[in-house]
Amino acid sequence: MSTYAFQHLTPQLPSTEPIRVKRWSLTKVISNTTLLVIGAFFLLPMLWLFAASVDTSASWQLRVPDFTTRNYLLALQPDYTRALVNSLILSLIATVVATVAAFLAAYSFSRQHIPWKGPILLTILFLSGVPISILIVPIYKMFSYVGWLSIFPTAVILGVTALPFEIYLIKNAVDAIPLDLEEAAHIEKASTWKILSRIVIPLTMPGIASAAIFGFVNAWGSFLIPLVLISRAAEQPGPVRMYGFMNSVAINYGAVAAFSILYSLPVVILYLLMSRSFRAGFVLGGAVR
Amino acid sequence: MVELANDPVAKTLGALVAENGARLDKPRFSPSSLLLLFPAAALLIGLFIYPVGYSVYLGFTNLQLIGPNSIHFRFTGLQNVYFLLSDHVFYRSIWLTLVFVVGSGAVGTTILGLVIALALQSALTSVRMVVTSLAIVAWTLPPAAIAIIWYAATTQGGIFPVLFGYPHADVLYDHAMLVVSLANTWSLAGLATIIFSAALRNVPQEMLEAAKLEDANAYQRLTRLVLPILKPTILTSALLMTLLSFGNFTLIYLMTQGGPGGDSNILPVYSYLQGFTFKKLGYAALLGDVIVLISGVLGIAYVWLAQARRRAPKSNSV
Amino acid sequence: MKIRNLINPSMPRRALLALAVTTALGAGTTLAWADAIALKVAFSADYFMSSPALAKKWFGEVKDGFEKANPDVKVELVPIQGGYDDFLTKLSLMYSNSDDVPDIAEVPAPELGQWVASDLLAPLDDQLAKTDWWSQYVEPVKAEGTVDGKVYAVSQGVNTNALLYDKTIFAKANLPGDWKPKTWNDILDAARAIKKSDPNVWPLWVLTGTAQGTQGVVLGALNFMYGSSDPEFYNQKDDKWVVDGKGIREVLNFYRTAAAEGLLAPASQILNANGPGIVAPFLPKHQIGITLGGNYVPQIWNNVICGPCWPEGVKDIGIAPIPTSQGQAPGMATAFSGWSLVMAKASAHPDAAWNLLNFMMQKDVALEVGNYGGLVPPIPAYISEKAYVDFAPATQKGFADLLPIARSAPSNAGYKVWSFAIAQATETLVLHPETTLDQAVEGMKSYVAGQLGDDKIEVRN
Repeated sequence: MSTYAFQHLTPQLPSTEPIRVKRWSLTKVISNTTLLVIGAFFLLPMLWLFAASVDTSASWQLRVPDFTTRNYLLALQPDYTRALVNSLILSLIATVVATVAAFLAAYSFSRQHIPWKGPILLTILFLSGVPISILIVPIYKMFSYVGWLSIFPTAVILGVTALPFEIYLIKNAVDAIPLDLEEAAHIEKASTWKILSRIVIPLTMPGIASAAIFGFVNAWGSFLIPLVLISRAAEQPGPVRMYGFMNSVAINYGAVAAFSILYSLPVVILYLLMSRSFRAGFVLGGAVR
Repeated sequence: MVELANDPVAKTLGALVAENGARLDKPRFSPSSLLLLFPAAALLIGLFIYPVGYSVYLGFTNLQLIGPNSIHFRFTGLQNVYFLLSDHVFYRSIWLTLVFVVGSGAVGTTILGLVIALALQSALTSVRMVVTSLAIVAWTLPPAAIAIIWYAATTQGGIFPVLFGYPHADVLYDHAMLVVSLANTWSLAGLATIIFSAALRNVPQEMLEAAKLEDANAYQRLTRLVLPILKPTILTSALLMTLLSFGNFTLIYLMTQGGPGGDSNILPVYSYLQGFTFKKLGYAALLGDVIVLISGVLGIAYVWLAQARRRAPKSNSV
Repeated sequence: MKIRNLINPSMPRRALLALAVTTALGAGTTLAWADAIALKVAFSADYFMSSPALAKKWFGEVKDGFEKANPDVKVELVPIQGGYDDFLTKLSLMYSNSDDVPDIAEVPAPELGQWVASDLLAPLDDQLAKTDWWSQYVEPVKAEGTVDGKVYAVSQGVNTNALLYDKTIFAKANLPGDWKPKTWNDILDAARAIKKSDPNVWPLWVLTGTAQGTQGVVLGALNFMYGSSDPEFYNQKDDKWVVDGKGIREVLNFYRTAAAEGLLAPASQILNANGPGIVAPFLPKHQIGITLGGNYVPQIWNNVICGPCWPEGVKDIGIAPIPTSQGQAPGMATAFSGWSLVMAKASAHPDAAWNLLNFMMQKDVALEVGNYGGLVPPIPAYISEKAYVDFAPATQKGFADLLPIARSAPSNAGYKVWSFAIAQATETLVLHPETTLDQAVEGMKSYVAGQLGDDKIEVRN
């Protein structure tokens, strides 16, 4: 399936047939125009972000910047780079915990007989509609009781908040693998572990990768959970630390903008690295197919 | 939720999701399942189901964040429910919630993501790179940054009022719901694009070729072939975007705190206000329970729609 | 005895110990020398002080100074990040678990009532009576920390509000350089003149809107409420909230008139969620004619905080107290709110905790908080201290002089609802001045009645 998907990454070669060329070019014109309009929709609000990040006295208003690099220097102070590292730690642990657990469960849900598996899956998924703000109270009480108010348990809880959707996602990827391969392996008396590591994991890699990046982004942007659950300020991630530029009497918009840009870079890089398998793997249709 | 399990609709849902798996080793519950399910089950039961269940219970207590009932709170039966039923802010909030999560989340984001993904298919490489990157950046920015960006873009002197020729308009305050909905769509469309780009790669190429040979034009190929094949993905994306829009309330909270005049006061924002500004955590938790109910109802509606599709145009996928 | 001497590093160690022992005894008990005592101090890392670095610096100095003087005590600093709501959320949750309760915490005074109602705080009357500084606090600030006759919170300083007017804009509009409005109409008249002389200037900046939470009310509408001809909006005896009355209608009418005549700064600015924090940079650009602002606004321009740097600005900006609606006595009004230190009832080491609190209130230490937090000190004599004058702008005196007539907001749970309702009502009028006063009042009434119950509202006439 994955190799099949990659075929389509190669650009369409223009056909020699005249009528078709005309049709494709019309589609192409419409497509590119639409994309440029939509691209503008994404870009225009961001103009403020880019302008403010290099502006000496940035404000709410969009204006031609009075150029400076000071905002980036502020955003790269040790406190803030440490927050970036904390974000990475949080997000990586959350991703690994959630993705491993989700994969194992998804495989079982996809291939094994589990009573009430459908309602169980859907219930878990819908329960994730509970607002984090309410959830935080019982979680805080529990973590506080067992003395877990630090970065690692918090990373685990962030992973758990992405877990329902990751299970859903990976299950769809497993569903898409033909059964024959595993059945053949069963007949040859391969162990479950071997079947998983040699057949299932390689084939579902795109699905796993997409679930993983979803989990990563889910943890990357979190604010309230780490704020409340991590007791040491030095362990707080970027979105919390960003409030260092915003207080009751003054807001440093330039620094906020610069920090936001720096903060989105790791995810963009991660996305570019994983984009092939990521895009190929985000097959959700299988859930209801 | 037990009742849901006995419900015939839920049963077919179960069969639906389970379909592939149930056939391999039909009736037996394999012991290895326990092993495989253990990590996720332990994590979910301990760190998710338990707190969710507890917060459902909190909805029927008088717990306060701080105040006389912050430590010694008690079960108050249906007291919160009575209050809820007489709370006119709540009723308006339900409507606004539906507009937000269905309008901007399920419909808006899904359509935008779908359009982008379709257009990307025949886009120039440079355009594709730029648009995809922008959509991904928008998806990954912290909510506080998104709130500021949209505030700057939609208030006096901001880019949108200037572009549309009303530089002195405060669009955010004149059309608060529209602006926060746009901001929500803006911040989630990247994910929807990724979902649809993937699904489009699974549209069998032979079918497109066959359609071309039958002289179907691009529009016909889209409406008669591609969209029907994508329908399950569209519905799944709608479900996911609904859930994510509920979670995206921070955006509204930071931009308008539900204002002006309650115009953007969706349930999660209202719940936050009740719990953390007015300190009524019990009531806030009950509002959270209502959110779970709504997302459950919407979810079942989406899956039911998907199921309806399965029965009818099966011809497409054979 | 002056404990502030303890932070003088040149003092011999033994003398320090001796002093510490005496201090401890002075508080009424002996400390257990054998065990190291750990004290937790929770404070707002980002929001309260003018910059996170200043918060870190002040609390770091307190920790070092106090530990030096009390070698048996370890002070554990618990900085809480995030905005106002975030800070309170985390602090509230910390109090809900006995292991996490901070011995000393910084609490915004308007929240105090709910902490006291939770029975979480220790009353401090006995200890305060023995200090030499508490008696110097002005009465309104003492009252701010008092609930049901007992003092639970010691103010670190407060913000009072006044009208900051731009003398260059005033000159252009032929308004006096020494402006003294007597009534609210005088404010509107000046704003009208400014609008006429320069349409690009925003004549009047007053905050409103629900997005700013309770902060926006104490910096905005509450000032007018206290200056109205019926300033009482909470009937404490019956625990009822006034939702209609002469005072409220005067306030609403002021916002409505200003909005209808286009005298206000753009809605995007005065309704902004960060409204209190965004005004300071506009004044150096001579963008606003009259600003209803806190004392912290000119303070942001000093060379330390620089948001933006404009230390010479105090020459261009005049300060006038907010008049009462019709000029009735006392002729001026301001709401104030501040940040206070509280001690946990559950503290395992109440004496050590009190000593720490007392240490923070020593003159040199306390003066710095005033500076770092952009606050008016609670003790009038501090205004003329060199340490304060060097840092604070000249306008600070004008704000400090308002303290005796300043009034704080009630700090119980109902106030949050009432405050939300008046924020919503003024916001509606600012956005839609065609709304009638009756409609605005009706909105307030139904909101407060809906949230607190029909028996909690009072209609006056």
